Amino acid sequence: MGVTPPERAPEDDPRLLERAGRGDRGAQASLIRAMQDVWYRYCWSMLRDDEMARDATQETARRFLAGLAGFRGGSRLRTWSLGIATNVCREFRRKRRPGMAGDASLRLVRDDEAGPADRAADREAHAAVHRVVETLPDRQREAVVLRYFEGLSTAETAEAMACSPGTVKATLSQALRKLRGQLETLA
Amino acid sequence: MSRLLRDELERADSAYRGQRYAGDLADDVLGSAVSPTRPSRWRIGLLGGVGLGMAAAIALAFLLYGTGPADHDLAKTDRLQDTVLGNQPSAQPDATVGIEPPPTTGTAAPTPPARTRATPLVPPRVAMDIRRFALSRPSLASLTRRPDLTRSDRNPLRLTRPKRPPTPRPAASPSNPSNAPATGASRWFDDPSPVETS
Repeated sequence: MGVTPPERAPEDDPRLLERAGRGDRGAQASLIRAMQDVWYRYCWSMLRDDEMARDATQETARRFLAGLAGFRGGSRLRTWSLGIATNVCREFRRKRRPGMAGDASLRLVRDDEAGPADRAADREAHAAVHRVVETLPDRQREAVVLRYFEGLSTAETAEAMACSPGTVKATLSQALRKLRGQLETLA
Repeated sequence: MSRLLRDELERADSAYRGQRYAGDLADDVLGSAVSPTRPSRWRIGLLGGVGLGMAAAIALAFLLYGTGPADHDLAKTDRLQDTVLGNQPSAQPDATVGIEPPPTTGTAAPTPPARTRATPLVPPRVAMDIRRFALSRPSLASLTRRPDLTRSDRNPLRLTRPKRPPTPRPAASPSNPSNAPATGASRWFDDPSPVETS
């Protein structure tokens, strides 16, 4: 009985990457579809606005395609593309008008049809995400989301944030200290 | 990391992963701005303008020239022919003065065919009269404007009597009455002088 190799994610397939880098539209579409939710939820957690998160996701995809031919594989495609998304979100935050609140449009996009119970669960989950990401400064939020939600290593988080791993560790430490203090206050 | 904080982060993580991009990002990106094959608005407008211009030009041509290209060719041929024939002198050329035109009985030029779309280039208004063809005119118009040329030089086909150089005439004497000047209708070619032989 043969052993079936584990299914490889599209973004980790080197042949797909090579074809996409050569301009194969089908390969590019496969990569984008594999990454679109990763980019969107990261942009949403950074911008806290559905429309802005959507625009930032599309901009991330455009820059991803533009730089795909120059991607040498020195890091994971996921890490590299999240670095693009980080830069895009920073630009969007700078362009955002002062006083434009993201809280009013905060809501979760779910695949399933949300009933009353789901809506209650969404509100609770939304509150949890809100507690984590909303109260943190931008750099700390980036570090927390990339490190704990996206599951990147410290080195990958540092690459995505364009800083050193030591800076990431320090930033994460500050963020967790702040979150812990807020949770103890709420409790 | 305290348990309370870890639980909070786990709940936030599950909620975070539940978010989805609504729609197909590949269609949104590849199908619009990135796709080079999709024509832009200004290109569509430019092609539309060119098409409208061509349609207007064709409609204008139909309005000006009637029903079709055959009539258009006929009209153009007639105008060209009128222009060419209009440049001809109204008076008859010198060479044809006194020359009767050939009899037309039995050798008349055939009637030009009726104008149809199948024979658009047949000149319908050309009168097959030989006097209208100006056969005696020189081919070069500039030749007629040279004052140093004689009339016959200007018109080499002129059908007139050839000139002969005047011969020295001896003085009249009673022994040779032929040296007397001609009178009346007697002229030099009517009464040639005898050739002297030595």
